[in-house]
Amino acid sequence: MVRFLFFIAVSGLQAAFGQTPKERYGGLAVGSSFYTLRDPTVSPLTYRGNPVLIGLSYEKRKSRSFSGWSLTGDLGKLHSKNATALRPMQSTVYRADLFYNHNRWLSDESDRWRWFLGGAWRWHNSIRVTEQNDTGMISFLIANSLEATGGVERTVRLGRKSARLSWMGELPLLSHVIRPSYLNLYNYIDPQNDFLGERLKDARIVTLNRFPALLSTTRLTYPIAGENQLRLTYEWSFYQYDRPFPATIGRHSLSVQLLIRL
Amino acid sequence: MKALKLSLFLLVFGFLTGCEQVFIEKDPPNTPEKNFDVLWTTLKERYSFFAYKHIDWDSVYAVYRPRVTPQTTERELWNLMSDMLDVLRDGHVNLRSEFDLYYYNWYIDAPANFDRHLLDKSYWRDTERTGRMVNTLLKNGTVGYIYYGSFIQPITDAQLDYLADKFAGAQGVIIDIRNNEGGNPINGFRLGRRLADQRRHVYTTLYKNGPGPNDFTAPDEAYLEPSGKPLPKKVVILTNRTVYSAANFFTAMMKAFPGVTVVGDRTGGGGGSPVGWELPNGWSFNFSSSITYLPDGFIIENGVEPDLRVDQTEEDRLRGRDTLLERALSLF
Repeated sequence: MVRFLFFIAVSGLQAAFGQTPKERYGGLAVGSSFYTLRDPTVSPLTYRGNPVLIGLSYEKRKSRSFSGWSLTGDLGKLHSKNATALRPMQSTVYRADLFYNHNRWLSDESDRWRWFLGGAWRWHNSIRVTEQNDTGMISFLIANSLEATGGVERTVRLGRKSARLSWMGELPLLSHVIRPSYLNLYNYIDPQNDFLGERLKDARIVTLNRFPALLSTTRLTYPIAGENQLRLTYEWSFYQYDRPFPATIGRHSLSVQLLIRL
Repeated sequence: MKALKLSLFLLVFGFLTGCEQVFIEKDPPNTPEKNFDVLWTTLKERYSFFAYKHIDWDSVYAVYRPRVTPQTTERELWNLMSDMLDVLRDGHVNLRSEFDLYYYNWYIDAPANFDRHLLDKSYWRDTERTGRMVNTLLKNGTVGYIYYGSFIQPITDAQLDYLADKFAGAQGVIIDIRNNEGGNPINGFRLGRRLADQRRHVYTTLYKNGPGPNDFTAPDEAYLEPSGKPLPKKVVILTNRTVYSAANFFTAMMKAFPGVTVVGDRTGGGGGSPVGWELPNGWSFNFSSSITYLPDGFIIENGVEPDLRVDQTEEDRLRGRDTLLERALSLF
């Protein structure tokens, strides 16, 4: 593991400083997500729903590497299948992810399949507000992860233009995870309560086996006028965490992104 | 090489299609039996007062569970669950649906000790409403009086500053929290800091932190210290049995201060932090999840005893006098 992290770090430094910039893009994404949430701090039942997705990004492609920042978020309501008009069984999801990745190309631009490998940092914030739970209405999972990334890209012909089809996978190697306490309640009856301090006390540093958070991103990037690009992205993410109760979250999202050449 | 490519393809395909459903546990069935079991089990694992109240929750199961069958109607299940929850004698335990609300009525058998009409007529004619605090100076302007009827209604530091100035020359202040069923404890802390003489240990709390009967957090000692423009340090707090939850915590907290006298009836209690969850059928419920005790070890779940026990008398009522308030005024 240490050798692997060292390889990623060296590759990243080489890629960052050993070449000239090629392309820079700023992006704006909109789309929709589909959630499957099984979190006993929210409900004994599985909740599903389709929050709205929005995102901002900045990315850079060079001859030997590419990197980028993104800030994406979901906002929307999830329900149990047992919900009715009179029993809403509803939770509102707020997700915000700040993500930085740096990848190095492992093969030449001329290759049909162009593989890459790199590292990333993801700050995942997922807050669920479930009003029927009264004082236990706010549940969350906040994770800061150092990740390994890898994937492949190839050029495909779409009409008269060449588009790029790519897939990237993410695996969190080391994560700092914050979850609610056993009761999903903070010590609000102490006049000197410290909400943040209490949460940090509940936090754990965990490896992949304790926090399997997988993320797969498939993108089709199509050139449009003025060297700008249009991108269709399908993202699938999945994670499990066992504190204070085993929680499982699956998420699919489909978004369209306009990339402006900077 | 082919095998490697195939493996990679399968890995990528797995990522692309998503297979999280395999890992997600199936929902519990929405049957009368399962709903009952979820309620009973949740309380067994997370309710904090079984030992304090000497309740054998397993025996409660043995009494009620056999009465739940697949044919049990919703209303029958509701009544049965309500009966079972009544065993806990806890106002922080409730069950909520679109057609009814179950809660334990902790004050019904106690004297009311509060007559709003009488207060309006005899004491509140010349009052100000500073935020949610009805206030005036009584006893020829020598004693401040604040009525604060619900900790759900927030109070601000600016309002308390105004009252501190208003009562600056008074001998003391009466804080009337009768019929205050609680709300946000922060409001009690805000008021308490103006009444505190120095930093004092006010109570200690243990939270459930696991499913076992003895799974509790380490004791958390709560301290209150003075802050902001002070109110007079000689304080009388008026209570009745309806005083509950955050108002019960406020009374408990103020007992740590030597200049404070509690007058009236024992408070109703509510000494556990309530927390909520839901059942597979969509009913929600709350329950107590912590234990709080005073520095002398007294658990406040069933209320805080007054220093001077006083009830409203019929004779005083007929004369338009509030017995508890008059007793409080006699202390100045």
